[in-house]
Amino acid sequence: MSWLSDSTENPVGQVLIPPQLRPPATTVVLPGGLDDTAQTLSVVDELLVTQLAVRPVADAAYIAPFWFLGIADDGFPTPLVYPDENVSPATQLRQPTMTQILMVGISDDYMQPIPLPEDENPAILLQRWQPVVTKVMVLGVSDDYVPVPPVDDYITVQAIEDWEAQVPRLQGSVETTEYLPVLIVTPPPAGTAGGFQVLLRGLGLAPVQGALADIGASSIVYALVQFDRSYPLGGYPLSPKALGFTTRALTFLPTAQTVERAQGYFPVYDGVNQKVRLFRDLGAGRWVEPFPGTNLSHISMDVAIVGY
Amino acid sequence: MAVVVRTPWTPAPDMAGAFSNAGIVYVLLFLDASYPAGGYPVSPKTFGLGTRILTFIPGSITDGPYFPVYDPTVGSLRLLNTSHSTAWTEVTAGTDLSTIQIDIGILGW
Repeated sequence: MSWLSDSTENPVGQVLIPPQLRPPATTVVLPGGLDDTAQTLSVVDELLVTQLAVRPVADAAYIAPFWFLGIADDGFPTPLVYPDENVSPATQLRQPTMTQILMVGISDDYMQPIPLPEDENPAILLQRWQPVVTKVMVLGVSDDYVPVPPVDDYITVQAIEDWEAQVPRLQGSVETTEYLPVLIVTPPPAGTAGGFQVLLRGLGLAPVQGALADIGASSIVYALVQFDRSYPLGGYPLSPKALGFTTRALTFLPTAQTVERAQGYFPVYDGVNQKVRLFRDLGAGRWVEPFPGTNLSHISMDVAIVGY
Repeated sequence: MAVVVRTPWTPAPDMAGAFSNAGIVYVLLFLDASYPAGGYPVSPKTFGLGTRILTFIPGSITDGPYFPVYDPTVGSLRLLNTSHSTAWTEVTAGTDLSTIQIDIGILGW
Protein backbone atom coordinates (compact mmCIF):
# COMPACT_ATOMS: atom_id res chain seq x y z
CA MET A 1 0.00 0.00 0.00
CA SER A 2 1.25 3.41 -0.76
CA TRP A 3 -0.85 5.38 1.60
CA LEU A 4 1.43 5.58 4.54
CA SER A 5 5.09 5.79 4.92
CA ASP A 6 6.86 6.79 8.04
CA SER A 7 9.38 8.58 5.95
CA THR A 8 6.82 10.64 4.19
CA GLU A 9 7.50 14.27 4.66
CA ASN A 10 4.87 16.76 5.34
CA PRO A 11 3.52 18.62 2.38
CA VAL A 12 4.44 22.20 2.33
CA GLY A 13 2.19 24.95 3.33
CA GLN A 14 -0.60 23.27 5.17
CA VAL A 15 -2.96 25.94 6.27
CA LEU A 16 -5.99 25.50 8.42
CA ILE A 17 -8.63 28.09 8.36
CA PRO A 18 -11.16 28.00 11.13
CA PRO A 19 -13.52 26.43 11.25
CA GLN A 20 -13.18 24.50 8.04
CA LEU A 21 -10.62 22.41 6.34
CA ARG A 22 -8.60 23.95 3.60
CA PRO A 23 -6.38 22.14 1.16
CA PRO A 24 -2.64 22.33 1.54
CA ALA A 25 -0.17 24.48 -0.26
CA THR A 26 -1.85 27.80 -0.16
CA THR A 27 0.67 30.01 -1.79
CA VAL A 28 0.99 33.64 -2.45
CA VAL A 29 3.16 35.03 -5.16
CA LEU A 30 5.18 38.02 -4.23
CA PRO A 31 7.14 40.16 -6.59
CA GLY A 32 10.69 40.71 -5.58
CA GLY A 33 13.04 38.86 -3.36
CA LEU A 34 12.04 40.26 -0.03
CA ASP A 35 13.16 37.29 1.90
CA ASP A 36 16.38 36.25 0.33
CA THR A 37 19.20 35.75 2.70
CA ALA A 38 22.44 34.00 2.22
CA GLN A 39 22.25 31.33 4.82
CA THR A 40 19.24 29.42 3.77
CA LEU A 41 17.72 27.91 0.76
CA SER A 42 17.18 30.15 -2.15
CA VAL A 43 13.88 31.79 -1.92
CA VAL A 44 11.45 31.22 -4.62
CA ASP A 45 8.87 33.66 -5.62
CA GLU A 46 6.17 31.88 -3.82
CA LEU A 47 5.70 32.37 -0.19
CA LEU A 48 3.51 30.36 2.01
CA VAL A 49 0.71 31.55 4.09
CA THR A 50 2.08 30.73 7.46
CA GLN A 51 -0.28 32.25 9.88
CA LEU A 52 -3.90 32.81 10.17
CA ALA A 53 -5.30 34.53 13.11
CA VAL A 54 -8.31 36.44 14.10
CA ARG A 55 -8.41 39.92 15.32
CA PRO A 56 -11.00 41.57 17.41
CA VAL A 57 -12.81 44.71 16.54
CA ALA A 58 -14.57 47.08 18.84
CA ASP A 59 -17.34 44.68 19.65
CA ALA A 60 -15.73 41.62 21.14
CA ALA A 61 -18.48 39.49 19.76
CA TYR A 62 -17.17 40.10 16.30
CA ILE A 63 -13.97 38.73 15.04
CA ALA A 64 -12.49 39.49 11.71
CA PRO A 65 -10.13 37.00 10.15
CA PHE A 66 -7.00 38.30 8.61
CA TRP A 67 -3.94 36.89 7.05
CA PHE A 68 -0.39 36.91 8.04
CA LEU A 69 2.09 35.97 5.44
CA GLY A 70 5.34 34.59 6.64
CA ILE A 71 8.50 35.01 4.76
CA ALA A 72 10.45 31.84 4.45
CA ASP A 73 13.64 32.65 6.17
CA ASP A 74 12.93 35.84 7.93
CA GLY A 75 13.32 35.88 11.62
CA PHE A 76 9.69 36.72 12.04
CA PRO A 77 6.61 36.52 9.93
CA THR A 78 6.07 39.71 8.15
CA PRO A 79 2.56 40.94 7.83
CA LEU A 80 2.32 41.45 4.16
CA VAL A 81 -1.36 41.68 3.67
CA TYR A 82 -3.93 43.07 5.90
CA PRO A 83 -7.44 42.77 4.71
CA ASP A 84 -9.49 45.82 4.85
CA GLU A 85 -9.37 47.02 8.39
CA ASN A 86 -12.36 49.14 7.84
CA VAL A 87 -14.71 46.30 7.25
CA SER A 88 -17.90 46.95 9.07
CA PRO A 89 -18.78 44.51 11.81
CA ALA A 90 -21.88 43.54 9.93
CA THR A 91 -19.81 41.82 7.32
CA GLN A 92 -17.41 40.16 9.64
CA LEU A 93 -17.37 36.70 10.95
CA ARG A 94 -19.47 36.45 14.00
CA GLN A 95 -18.31 34.12 16.69
CA PRO A 96 -20.10 33.64 19.97
CA THR A 97 -16.77 33.09 21.61
CA MET A 98 -13.23 32.81 20.53
CA THR A 99 -13.32 29.27 19.35
CA GLN A 100 -10.21 28.71 17.38
CA ILE A 101 -6.75 30.06 17.14
CA LEU A 102 -4.27 28.87 14.66
CA MET A 103 -0.71 29.59 13.99
CA VAL A 104 1.42 27.43 11.82
CA GLY A 105 5.08 27.31 11.23
CA ILE A 106 7.18 29.34 9.01
CA SER A 107 7.72 27.54 5.81
CA ASP A 108 11.30 26.43 5.91
CA ASP A 109 12.54 27.52 9.25
CA TYR A 110 14.00 24.77 11.31
CA MET A 111 11.90 24.45 14.40
CA GLN A 112 11.69 28.11 14.91
CA PRO A 113 9.23 29.10 17.53
CA ILE A 114 6.63 31.31 16.10
CA PRO A 115 7.68 34.79 16.99
CA LEU A 116 5.10 37.08 18.27
CA PRO A 117 4.11 39.89 16.05
CA GLU A 118 4.63 42.21 18.93
CA ASP A 119 5.05 45.32 17.03
CA GLU A 120 2.35 44.61 14.55
CA ASN A 121 -0.74 43.52 16.29
CA PRO A 122 -0.60 42.89 20.00
CA ALA A 123 -4.31 42.36 19.96
CA ILE A 124 -3.66 38.87 18.73
CA LEU A 125 -2.28 37.97 22.07
CA LEU A 126 -5.49 38.88 23.72
CA GLN A 127 -7.22 36.29 21.68
CA ARG A 128 -5.23 33.50 23.18
CA TRP A 129 -7.71 33.41 25.96
CA GLN A 130 -9.65 30.18 25.91
CA PRO A 131 -12.45 29.50 28.32
CA VAL A 132 -12.56 25.78 27.73
CA VAL A 133 -9.61 24.22 26.04
CA THR A 134 -10.49 20.74 25.07
CA LYS A 135 -7.85 19.79 22.63
CA VAL A 136 -4.38 20.88 21.82
CA MET A 137 -2.81 19.88 18.61
CA VAL A 138 0.74 20.30 17.61
CA LEU A 139 1.31 21.39 14.09
CA GLY A 140 4.52 20.51 12.41
CA VAL A 141 6.40 23.12 10.60
CA SER A 142 5.60 22.71 7.01
CA ASP A 143 8.75 21.58 5.30
CA ASP A 144 11.21 21.02 8.04
CA TYR A 145 13.85 18.57 7.05
CA VAL A 146 13.98 16.79 10.35
CA PRO A 147 11.09 14.57 11.20
CA VAL A 148 8.22 16.51 12.53
CA PRO A 149 6.22 14.87 15.24
CA PRO A 150 3.03 13.50 13.89
CA VAL A 151 0.05 15.59 14.62
CA ASP A 152 -2.21 13.74 16.89
CA ASP A 153 -3.54 13.57 20.37
CA TYR A 154 -0.79 11.48 21.77
CA ILE A 155 2.09 13.82 21.94
CA THR A 156 2.80 14.91 25.44
CA VAL A 157 2.86 18.61 25.52
CA GLN A 158 4.67 19.76 28.60
CA ALA A 159 3.65 23.32 28.44
CA ILE A 160 2.35 25.93 26.15
CA GLU A 161 3.85 29.31 26.34
CA ASP A 162 2.78 32.01 24.06
CA TRP A 163 2.38 30.37 20.70
CA GLU A 164 4.54 27.37 21.11
CA ALA A 165 4.29 23.99 22.71
CA GLN A 166 7.16 22.34 24.46
CA VAL A 167 7.23 18.79 23.28
CA PRO A 168 9.64 16.24 24.68
CA ARG A 169 11.13 14.03 22.04
CA LEU A 170 13.64 11.26 21.90
CA GLN A 171 15.93 11.37 18.93
CA GLY A 172 18.12 8.32 19.12
CA SER A 173 19.23 8.30 22.73
CA VAL A 174 19.13 12.04 23.09
CA GLU A 175 16.25 13.61 24.87
CA THR A 176 15.34 16.95 23.55
CA THR A 177 12.60 19.45 23.88
CA GLU A 178 11.21 20.95 20.77
CA TYR A 179 9.10 23.98 20.40
CA LEU A 180 6.23 23.81 18.06
CA PRO A 181 3.42 26.09 17.14
CA VAL A 182 0.11 25.07 18.52
CA LEU A 183 -3.47 24.97 17.48
CA ILE A 184 -6.04 25.30 20.16
CA VAL A 185 -9.53 24.20 19.38
CA THR A 186 -12.68 24.33 21.34
CA PRO A 187 -15.74 22.57 20.08
CA PRO A 188 -18.59 24.58 18.67
CA PRO A 189 -21.16 25.46 21.29
CA ALA A 190 -24.00 23.00 21.42
CA GLY A 191 -26.83 24.03 19.20
CA THR A 192 -24.93 26.67 17.31
CA ALA A 193 -23.00 24.71 14.77
CA GLY A 194 -24.42 24.53 11.31
CA GLY A 195 -23.44 21.32 9.60
CA PHE A 196 -20.49 19.38 10.73
CA GLN A 197 -16.99 20.67 10.83
CA VAL A 198 -13.82 19.05 9.76
CA LEU A 199 -10.44 19.63 11.19
CA LEU A 200 -7.69 18.20 9.09
CA ARG A 201 -5.41 16.48 11.48
CA GLY A 202 -1.78 16.65 10.82
CA LEU A 203 -0.12 17.71 7.70
CA GLY A 204 -1.59 15.51 5.09
CA LEU A 205 0.49 12.43 5.03
CA ALA A 206 2.12 12.87 8.38
CA PRO A 207 2.10 9.57 10.20
CA VAL A 208 -0.23 9.36 13.10
CA GLN A 209 0.36 7.53 16.31
CA GLY A 210 -2.18 5.86 18.48
CA ALA A 211 -5.43 4.25 17.56
CA LEU A 212 -5.09 4.86 13.85
CA ALA A 213 -1.40 4.25 13.52
CA ASP A 214 -1.88 0.61 12.64
CA ILE A 215 -3.37 1.51 9.33
CA GLY A 216 0.11 1.97 8.00
CA ALA A 217 0.73 -1.74 8.13
CA SER A 218 -2.45 -2.68 6.39
CA SER A 219 -3.10 -4.27 3.07
CA ILE A 220 -6.09 -5.08 0.92
CA VAL A 221 -7.72 -8.42 0.46
CA TYR A 222 -10.28 -9.05 -2.23
CA ALA A 223 -12.98 -11.49 -1.36
CA LEU A 224 -16.27 -12.85 -2.50
CA VAL A 225 -18.59 -13.01 0.46
CA GLN A 226 -21.71 -15.13 0.23
CA PHE A 227 -24.43 -15.05 2.83
CA ASP A 228 -26.84 -17.67 3.98
CA ARG A 229 -30.53 -18.16 4.55
CA SER A 230 -30.73 -16.65 7.98
CA TYR A 231 -29.13 -13.36 8.95
CA PRO A 232 -27.95 -13.75 12.55
CA LEU A 233 -28.69 -11.18 15.21
CA GLY A 234 -25.78 -8.74 15.24
CA GLY A 235 -24.25 -9.91 11.98
CA TYR A 236 -22.20 -12.78 10.70
CA PRO A 237 -19.09 -13.73 12.66
CA LEU A 238 -16.09 -13.04 10.48
CA SER A 239 -12.63 -13.22 11.91
CA PRO A 240 -9.61 -11.48 10.44
CA LYS A 241 -8.07 -14.87 9.74
CA ALA A 242 -11.04 -15.85 7.62
CA LEU A 243 -10.13 -12.92 5.42
CA GLY A 244 -6.47 -13.77 5.29
CA PHE A 245 -5.31 -11.24 7.86
CA THR A 246 -3.27 -12.15 10.89
CA THR A 247 -4.42 -9.54 13.35
CA ARG A 248 -7.19 -7.21 12.47
CA ALA A 249 -9.70 -6.44 9.78
CA LEU A 250 -10.30 -2.72 9.61
CA THR A 251 -12.98 -1.94 7.12
CA PHE A 252 -14.64 -2.89 3.90
CA LEU A 253 -14.04 -0.87 0.79
CA PRO A 254 -17.46 -1.08 -0.78
CA THR A 255 -18.09 0.90 -3.90
CA ALA A 256 -21.42 2.05 -5.22
CA GLN A 257 -21.21 -0.84 -7.68
CA THR A 258 -20.60 -3.26 -4.86
CA VAL A 259 -23.75 -2.13 -3.15
CA GLU A 260 -25.75 -2.19 -6.35
CA ARG A 261 -24.65 -5.73 -7.15
CA ALA A 262 -25.54 -6.76 -3.62
CA GLN A 263 -29.07 -5.48 -4.10
CA GLY A 264 -28.59 -2.48 -1.93
CA TYR A 265 -26.91 -4.14 1.01
CA PHE A 266 -23.94 -2.30 2.42
CA PRO A 267 -21.32 -4.20 4.45
CA VAL A 268 -19.90 -2.80 7.67
CA TYR A 269 -17.15 -4.55 9.54
CA ASP A 270 -17.71 -4.52 13.28
CA GLY A 271 -14.15 -4.90 14.50
CA VAL A 272 -15.07 -5.08 18.15
CA ASN A 273 -17.27 -8.12 17.72
CA GLN A 274 -15.50 -9.34 14.59
CA LYS A 275 -18.67 -9.49 12.58
CA VAL A 276 -19.87 -8.33 9.23
CA ARG A 277 -23.09 -6.44 9.49
CA LEU A 278 -25.27 -5.51 6.58
CA PHE A 279 -27.36 -2.41 6.17
CA ARG A 280 -29.92 -1.32 3.66
CA ASP A 281 -32.11 1.67 3.08
CA LEU A 282 -35.64 0.37 3.05
CA GLY A 283 -36.97 3.53 1.47
CA ALA A 284 -37.06 5.98 4.32
CA GLY A 285 -33.50 7.12 3.79
CA ARG A 286 -32.32 5.48 6.96
CA TRP A 287 -30.13 2.43 7.09
CA VAL A 288 -31.37 -0.52 9.04
CA GLU A 289 -29.83 -3.88 9.75
CA PRO A 290 -31.75 -6.91 8.49
CA PHE A 291 -34.05 -8.67 10.85
CA PRO A 292 -32.60 -11.85 12.28
CA GLY A 293 -33.58 -14.73 10.08
CA THR A 294 -33.68 -12.74 6.85
CA ASN A 295 -32.81 -14.94 3.90
CA LEU A 296 -29.74 -13.48 2.21
CA SER A 297 -28.66 -16.55 0.32
CA HIS A 298 -29.18 -14.74 -2.95
CA ILE A 299 -26.66 -12.08 -1.97
CA SER A 300 -23.00 -12.29 -2.76
CA MET A 301 -20.64 -9.44 -2.31
CA ASP A 302 -17.54 -8.76 -4.34
CA VAL A 303 -15.63 -6.55 -2.01
CA ALA A 304 -12.23 -5.37 -0.86
CA ILE A 305 -11.24 -5.35 2.79
CA VAL A 306 -8.48 -3.46 4.52
CA GLY A 307 -6.65 -5.11 7.37
CA TYR A 308 -3.40 -6.53 8.52
CA MET B 1 -25.87 -18.88 10.13
CA ALA B 2 -22.68 -18.60 8.27
CA VAL B 3 -20.95 -16.53 5.76
CA VAL B 4 -18.74 -18.01 3.08
CA VAL B 5 -15.63 -16.11 2.13
CA ARG B 6 -13.66 -16.90 -0.96
CA THR B 7 -10.25 -15.42 -0.97
CA PRO B 8 -7.92 -14.99 -2.78
CA TRP B 9 -10.48 -13.71 -5.17
CA THR B 10 -10.19 -11.88 -8.46
CA PRO B 11 -12.39 -8.86 -8.01
CA ALA B 12 -14.59 -7.22 -10.56
CA PRO B 13 -12.63 -5.07 -12.97
CA ASP B 14 -14.00 -1.85 -11.56
CA MET B 15 -12.67 -2.56 -8.10
CA ALA B 16 -9.04 -3.40 -8.33
CA GLY B 17 -6.20 -1.24 -9.37
CA ALA B 18 -7.20 2.15 -8.16
CA PHE B 19 -7.11 1.20 -4.52
CA SER B 20 -3.36 0.93 -4.61
CA ASN B 21 -3.19 4.65 -5.24
CA ALA B 22 -5.15 5.46 -2.16
CA GLY B 23 -3.91 7.92 0.35
CA ILE B 24 -5.10 8.60 3.83
CA VAL B 25 -6.01 11.74 5.67
CA TYR B 26 -6.77 12.00 9.32
CA VAL B 27 -9.49 14.30 10.44
CA LEU B 28 -11.41 15.23 13.49
CA LEU B 29 -15.09 15.65 12.83
CA PHE B 30 -17.27 17.93 14.86
CA LEU B 31 -20.90 17.11 14.35
CA ASP B 32 -23.84 19.42 14.63
CA ALA B 33 -27.09 19.76 16.47
CA SER B 34 -29.29 18.02 13.94
CA TYR B 35 -28.33 14.84 12.15
CA PRO B 36 -29.73 15.07 8.63
CA ALA B 37 -31.74 12.27 7.05
CA GLY B 38 -29.41 10.14 5.01
CA GLY B 39 -26.32 11.42 6.73
CA TYR B 40 -24.05 14.39 6.24
CA PRO B 41 -23.25 15.07 2.60
CA VAL B 42 -19.51 14.91 2.06
CA SER B 43 -17.23 15.19 -0.92
CA PRO B 44 -13.58 14.39 -1.38
CA LYS B 45 -12.78 18.06 -1.04
CA THR B 46 -14.37 18.06 2.36
CA PHE B 47 -11.37 16.11 3.52
CA GLY B 48 -8.71 17.55 1.31
CA LEU B 49 -8.90 14.72 -1.20
CA GLY B 50 -9.17 15.34 -4.88
CA THR B 51 -11.40 12.81 -6.49
CA ARG B 52 -12.79 10.04 -4.42
CA ILE B 53 -13.50 8.86 -0.91
CA LEU B 54 -13.09 5.14 -0.44
CA THR B 55 -13.91 4.47 3.14
CA PHE B 56 -13.70 5.68 6.70
CA ILE B 57 -11.63 3.99 9.36
CA PRO B 58 -12.94 5.00 12.75
CA GLY B 59 -10.51 5.85 15.47
CA SER B 60 -12.03 7.09 18.68
CA ILE B 61 -15.34 8.75 19.26
CA THR B 62 -16.17 10.97 22.18
CA ASP B 63 -19.39 10.88 24.03
CA GLY B 64 -21.48 8.45 22.15
CA PRO B 65 -21.89 4.96 20.81
CA TYR B 66 -21.56 5.84 17.16
CA PHE B 67 -19.86 4.28 14.19
CA PRO B 68 -19.15 6.37 11.08
CA VAL B 69 -19.61 4.88 7.65
CA TYR B 70 -19.09 6.40 4.24
CA ASP B 71 -22.00 5.69 1.92
CA PRO B 72 -20.61 5.83 -1.62
CA THR B 73 -24.02 5.52 -3.22
CA VAL B 74 -25.10 8.98 -2.11
CA GLY B 75 -21.83 10.45 -0.89
CA SER B 76 -22.68 10.88 2.74
CA LEU B 77 -21.29 10.28 6.18
CA ARG B 78 -23.74 8.09 8.00
CA LEU B 79 -23.59 7.36 11.68
CA LEU B 80 -24.71 4.07 13.09
CA ASN B 81 -25.87 3.85 16.65
CA THR B 82 -24.07 0.99 18.30
CA SER B 83 -25.62 1.30 21.73
CA HIS B 84 -27.25 -2.06 21.22
CA SER B 85 -24.65 -4.71 20.70
CA THR B 86 -27.17 -6.70 18.72
CA ALA B 87 -28.82 -4.73 15.96
CA TRP B 88 -27.38 -1.39 14.97
CA THR B 89 -29.45 1.34 13.44
CA GLU B 90 -28.66 4.61 11.78
CA VAL B 91 -29.01 7.70 13.92
CA THR B 92 -32.45 9.23 13.73
CA ALA B 93 -32.73 12.44 11.75
CA GLY B 94 -32.66 15.47 13.99
CA THR B 95 -30.51 13.93 16.69
CA ASP B 96 -28.30 16.46 18.46
CA LEU B 97 -24.70 15.35 17.93
CA SER B 98 -23.02 18.62 18.76
CA THR B 99 -21.03 17.10 21.59
CA ILE B 100 -19.60 14.40 19.40
CA GLN B 101 -16.11 14.38 17.99
CA ILE B 102 -14.96 11.59 15.75
CA ASP B 103 -11.34 10.79 15.20
CA ILE B 104 -11.14 9.15 11.83
CA GLY B 105 -8.91 8.10 9.00
CA ILE B 106 -10.21 8.49 5.48
CA LEU B 107 -8.93 6.51 2.55
CA GLY B 108 -9.22 8.03 -0.85
CA TRP B 109 -7.39 10.04 -3.40
